[in-house]
Amino acid sequence: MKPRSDQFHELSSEALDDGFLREALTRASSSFQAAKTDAVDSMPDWEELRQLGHDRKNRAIENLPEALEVFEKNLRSRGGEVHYCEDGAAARDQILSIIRASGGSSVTKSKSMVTEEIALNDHLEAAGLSVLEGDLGEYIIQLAGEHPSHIIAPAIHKSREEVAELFHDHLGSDPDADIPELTRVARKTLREAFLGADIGISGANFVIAETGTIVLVENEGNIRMSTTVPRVHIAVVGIEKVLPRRSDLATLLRLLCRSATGQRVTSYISFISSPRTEGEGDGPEKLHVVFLDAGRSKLWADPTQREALNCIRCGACLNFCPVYGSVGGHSYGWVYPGPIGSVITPNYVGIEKASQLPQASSLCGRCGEVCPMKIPLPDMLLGLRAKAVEAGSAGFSEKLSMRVFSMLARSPRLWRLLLALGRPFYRLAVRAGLASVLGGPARRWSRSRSLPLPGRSGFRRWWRKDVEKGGE
Amino acid sequence: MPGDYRERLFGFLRSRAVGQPGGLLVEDSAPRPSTAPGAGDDLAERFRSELCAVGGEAVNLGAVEDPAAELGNWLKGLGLESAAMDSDPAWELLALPVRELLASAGLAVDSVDSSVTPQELAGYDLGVTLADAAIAETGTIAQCARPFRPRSISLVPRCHLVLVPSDRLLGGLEDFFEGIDEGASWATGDADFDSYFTWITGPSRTADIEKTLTIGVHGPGRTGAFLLGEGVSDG
Repeated sequence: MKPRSDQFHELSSEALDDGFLREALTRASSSFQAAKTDAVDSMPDWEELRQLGHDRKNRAIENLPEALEVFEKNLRSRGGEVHYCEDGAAARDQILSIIRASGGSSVTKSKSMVTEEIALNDHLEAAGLSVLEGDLGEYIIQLAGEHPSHIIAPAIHKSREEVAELFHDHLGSDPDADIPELTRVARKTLREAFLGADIGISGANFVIAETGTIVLVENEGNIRMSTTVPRVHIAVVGIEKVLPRRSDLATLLRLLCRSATGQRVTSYISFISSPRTEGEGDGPEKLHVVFLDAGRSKLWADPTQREALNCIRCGACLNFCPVYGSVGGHSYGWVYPGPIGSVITPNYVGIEKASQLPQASSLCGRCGEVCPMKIPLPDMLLGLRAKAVEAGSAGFSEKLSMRVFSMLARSPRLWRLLLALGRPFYRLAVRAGLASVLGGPARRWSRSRSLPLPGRSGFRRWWRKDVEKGGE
Repeated sequence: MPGDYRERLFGFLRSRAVGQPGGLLVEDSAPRPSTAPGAGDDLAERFRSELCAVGGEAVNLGAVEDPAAELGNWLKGLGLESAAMDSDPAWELLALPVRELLASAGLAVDSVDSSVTPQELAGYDLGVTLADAAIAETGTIAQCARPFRPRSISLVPRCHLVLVPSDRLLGGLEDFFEGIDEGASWATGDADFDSYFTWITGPSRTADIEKTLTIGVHGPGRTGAFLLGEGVSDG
């Protein structure tokens, strides 16, 4: 997928004007938040669990070359194949050549952010293959020709009416179908596709070094379909997805499921360590893992950003982020939205192409608090802001105003003087409407925000008069 | 050439290695969270309540007077016509006549082994299996690769019936992973957890349209798990 992360301002402005999107985001965020809060509250050892998950994942990340090598050796010993790809183009070619060698022509896919990252569907379709997304949300956005707007709920920006219309146009179903009926229509259509598919493509939530296992977490059953029925299974996996031992999953699965949907565990979790074994009648004959680097090794080499690779893609930082909750996933301009997206996108596509993303945060700190892997997202966002400035993202006026601010903030006397002089102007500006008084860049800021009218006298005066002298 | 990148990647990662030798596969066990049931807890009740909480149907046959009638009535209530039952030799060890109960509920029963295809299984209403393990903490059924059981029997038919022998009911997630690592009785023989297994916790579900929960999208819409009062190990 081609990054448009340098257009955050434009994309988020459009999103803020979309009434349905705002409503859908509010509904989704509050339901995700409630589910996660319940799931965490019912787990008294949650903080210990986070620490344990963080430590176990770190073992794999710190020993990344060994972890990949052990995984590879174990999967190969049971007949699986492992490939390493430097970037999206190499991965697309690798996947296509596996498909060509198998002689297959129809592909079913399960939801995978990595395959979005490398724009796999377009590439396979251009090569004449039929590609169907099996996850209901992904299927909806595939029919609509769009991209996912949330890591675990890709179609939250679509209304039931839009989906009914889409299914009516493409599948001939009732234009007024309700949600259960729409789900039945999708089941019927996709069931035929699954049973006829030659190739199944999935991502992976984890891969286990110790046992050479691919772990896939889901609720619908489409991943089980794509990894059981077709004769070839290709798992496309970022090199950071590895965990040391199978028993680490007890902790990591608790953290992932509770943080993502609030479930204890999801309906289905598949643990695949081999193609079908002798005597088995289903399961893939060929099993391939395609490891993707695409910026991950570079990020790994940077100790200030490395922990971003500990992300397990639960989506909690999106669900609790006030910025994501206002502007939605498409505003971030690439595959990974929300706070984690604002951290990894600049690292993967280059800070110069995504310098606005680290600014898309109020630094309120909630993302860091809810992250089950204890990734210090606010610190990383701050670090990336500094990198963006180093890379030249700040213009002349920003640099000048920051210099002036720094001068004022270092001199208490100047600061007080400015506040006293500025207050009447500020009151006037708020009364008249900020946008009409302030021109230029302030207009963009003030268009979607309002400020309360400040008091006549300042905080310092009130403090001296009422608090220090013992008044209430 | 794909092979080339492997060398370059490993060369780069090794040149900056940050870990300690032996720091990857450390042999230590994690502390169990207090929410994981252990010895002394009523595992059957925990399993039942966890599975029911996520929309599954669970009955502890060990606690009812007439297990055959209980299962028979559930089967009749499904109103289905055909069932595919796996060819697990352990069925013969059970006192409960499952096959007869299926037949007397009006189901045409076929025993299937791994030669049956998912396409053929799609023609059945009900898939019938024995659990290889069950986890009380989460209401989860584990099914592993076995020569007599297709992977898709618990996925493709509209409903899934699974029976859980009492000696395969475990407490927490740690008990499961330790059991397969250490070769517990339920994890050995022709049970191959090192090749493939799946966890099933309740029916197939989605909330992809307007966050509205809908049951039975790609997998079974009904999942019945019956805990047996008897075990199957050692005949």
